[in-house]
Amino acid sequence: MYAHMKKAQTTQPCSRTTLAGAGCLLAATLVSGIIHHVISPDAVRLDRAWSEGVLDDVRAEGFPVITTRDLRTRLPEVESGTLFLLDARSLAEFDTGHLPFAFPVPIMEFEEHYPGLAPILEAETPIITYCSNPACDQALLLARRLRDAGHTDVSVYVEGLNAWRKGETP
Amino acid sequence: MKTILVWLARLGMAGLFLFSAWTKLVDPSAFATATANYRLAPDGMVTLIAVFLPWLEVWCGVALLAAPPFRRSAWWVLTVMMVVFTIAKASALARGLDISCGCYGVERPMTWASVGENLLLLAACVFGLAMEKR
Repeated sequence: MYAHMKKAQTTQPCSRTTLAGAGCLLAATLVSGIIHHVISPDAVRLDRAWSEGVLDDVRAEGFPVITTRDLRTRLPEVESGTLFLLDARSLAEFDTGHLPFAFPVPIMEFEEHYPGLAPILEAETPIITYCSNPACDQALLLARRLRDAGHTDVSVYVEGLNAWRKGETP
Repeated sequence: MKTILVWLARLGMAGLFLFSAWTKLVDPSAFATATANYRLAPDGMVTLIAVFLPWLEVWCGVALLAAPPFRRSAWWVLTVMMVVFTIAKASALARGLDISCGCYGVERPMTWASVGENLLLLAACVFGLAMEKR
């Protein structure tokens, strides 16, 4: 009888003991995560959406934040070539749609794409970077790289392309 | 021979996941950003993943080196995690996202090679799960 029960237990893919062990792992995870969250000053905050963190980082690093309304107002400058819009997403995403007159500078391929634009971007040329939405950080990463490259007038359109597209819908 | 292979799998995966967890815990913001860049989870979920996933990796790594009942549970959890990670990577590549893979604290572009790495790790998890005594 016992041997039969033992055989049945060992042929189960996931026994009760295994499930209990997994439960213990999850409980330990929950407790550790909460303790770490409470005591660590660097922990990601549970009481706010992650996208607010990206916006905070943009502000903390001193980049001006451009709103959809600001961008709409400044579009003539973009059209005249006195203000540059740089898209930090991949080329594949850029090809599916982008802001008017924007140039692609995929952040993961910065070294390949930036040199092509460098001759027309002077240090004081106003630049706005953007990606898809407030949760993506490519626009912030691109802004950092541009600042490191010596550009002094870099802003970030945190709301991103999705917000622009929503604004276009009547 | 089988015992040696099982111990190698345990030690290898425990080391890998403990290291991976450490890289996430020392820079939680970078990990949350990497997770958000996959665009698979809503904002609130990204926060939860950033807070709890590194600790799940820690406890799975510890459990692989602990008493047998916990080892089997850890193999199950790691197998499920590897399946999810692999799907997430493949999905990001299929959507043409230009993002860092967010693995092991190293900034490197996502490629099909990193999906291949995941498949190897998944195979190691399935091997460990199959070989671990009940």
